Amino acid sequence: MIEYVLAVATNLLIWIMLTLSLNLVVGYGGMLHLGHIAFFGIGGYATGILVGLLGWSFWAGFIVGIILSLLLSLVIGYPALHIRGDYFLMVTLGFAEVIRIIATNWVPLTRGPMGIPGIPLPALFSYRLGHVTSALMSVSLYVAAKIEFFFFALLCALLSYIIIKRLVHSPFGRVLKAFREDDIAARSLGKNPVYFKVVSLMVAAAIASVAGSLSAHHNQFFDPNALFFSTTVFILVAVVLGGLGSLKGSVVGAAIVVLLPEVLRFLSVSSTNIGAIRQLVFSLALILLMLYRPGGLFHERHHA
Amino acid sequence: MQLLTGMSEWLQILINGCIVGGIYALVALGYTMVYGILKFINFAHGEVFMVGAYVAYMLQDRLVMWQSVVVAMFICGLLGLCIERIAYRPLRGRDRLVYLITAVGVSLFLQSVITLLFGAQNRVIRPTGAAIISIGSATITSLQILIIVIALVLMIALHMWVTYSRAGKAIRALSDNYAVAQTVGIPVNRLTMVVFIVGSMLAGAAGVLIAYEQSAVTPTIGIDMGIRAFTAAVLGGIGSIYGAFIGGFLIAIVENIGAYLLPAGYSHAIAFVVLIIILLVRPSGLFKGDGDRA
Repeated sequence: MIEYVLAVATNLLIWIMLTLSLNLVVGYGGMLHLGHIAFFGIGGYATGILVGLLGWSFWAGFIVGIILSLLLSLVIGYPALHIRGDYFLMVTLGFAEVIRIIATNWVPLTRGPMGIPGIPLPALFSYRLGHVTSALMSVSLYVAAKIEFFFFALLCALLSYIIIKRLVHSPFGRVLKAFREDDIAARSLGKNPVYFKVVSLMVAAAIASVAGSLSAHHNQFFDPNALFFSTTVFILVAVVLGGLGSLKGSVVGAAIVVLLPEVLRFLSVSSTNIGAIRQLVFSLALILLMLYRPGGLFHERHHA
Repeated sequence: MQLLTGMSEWLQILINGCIVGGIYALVALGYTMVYGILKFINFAHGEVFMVGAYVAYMLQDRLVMWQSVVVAMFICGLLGLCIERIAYRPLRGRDRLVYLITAVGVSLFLQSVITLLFGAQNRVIRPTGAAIISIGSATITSLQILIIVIALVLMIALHMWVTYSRAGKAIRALSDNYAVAQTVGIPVNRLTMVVFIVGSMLAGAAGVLIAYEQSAVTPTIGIDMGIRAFTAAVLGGIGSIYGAFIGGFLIAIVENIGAYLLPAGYSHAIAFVVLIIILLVRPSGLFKGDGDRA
């Protein structure tokens, strides 16, 4: 039981990071980003390949993932944001599909559809602390390591929350929101929209990459199935459900999106149908929210 | 990697490009017509196409291909009407982001309904006994010729409709200048509906044609085709009907050349890469200049 709760809770933290970072781009930046999962994949594969296959220290996976995500989000975001805003969603969607296709087909690097198994849990505070936890709570070493990993993920999620919160409440965040509300007015103040939008995209990409690395450690496995477009839409549902431009909302939205399939599982819906039912419920939620409650559960506070 | 050596390889690539090119163009038309009027990417358009393909799957034992095309056009036209009335029209005048998110929702909704009904796996369209015709060492089946003919007939019909009918003229006026068209009394709501219906009918027809061409359907073909057709529309200059015709064929031929030169799995990525390159180099598309009015 404790293993199940830990698994769901850690997964929730990863989803909170994805939702918060997508909210920065969609909610605060007003850009419909449909390629968020690509950066999750870059982090996951950086960790999978460097740590899982090559046996490097786990920090390498995180750092290489972040650097690659920053670079690629710059390369994709800069040209895409220079042109008409509507094209942004198609470019980001196309980018994510290219990443998924490469992950599926570049077998010598990524092992393709077989995925990368046996990615170890990071040895965080050396083994000794693991032993202490294991003795104190009378659980096995494996579970102790899982508990430690949960706290590590919690730390990452908290850091992401703080970074995004500080960013959106800073002068930078106010200009970003100004572009969302009135592009021409913000331009007339001499601000460059591309700079603000690309930087928010890059921050979001880095956080998604960390979430991907965490996910690779957490599942001890990473494969291209994690990178389907529908996952990006689920993150989008969490953002919209909680409220565009509401960070607290994102946490709640992520919780709803992660916990619903678990509830379905308890209602003994067959596992083949869970995926499709989840899609059905969430896509319907997306349409109905847009029609009747576009602000989501938590409206963004409007400062006078 | 092989090099293109003989004429026959080029001919085969050209033939294959024309077969799927017509299909891409039919789907691209829906994107471009809706964009022309509402300035909005109807993200769910690829899913309407996917529904058309499943109509072909369901009717394969009862009807022949062209009959399925007619039925699919009817069903998908109705579907397009429903999507416009239920999901999009209540949002008129709202933020563009709201529109786009709704479209993504509609897209995933249709995909999940089809997945629940038919499962996520491949559904096979059994081959009909089509004759193989060889041109030099290149080949084409009689079924494929029929696909090209149906696509061309639909495109010519659309051209006639847009050029000569009252509704067609009004649609061109709307995409030329929305505000002025509205001022002179063109019924915007009705024509928006008409555009959704016509675009969806073409997508439905394209769905049947691709089902027979690839002899299999899955719930994800909508998104795949969506990106390709959107790329075709952008390549031709979005909003331009004739641009979408040409864009569809160009993308298909580029894709076929790429599929010939690249390792197998990567051919799906070609359209995306083309899209990104177009947007970098010439975001207004190839024919924006004078094709803009259509």
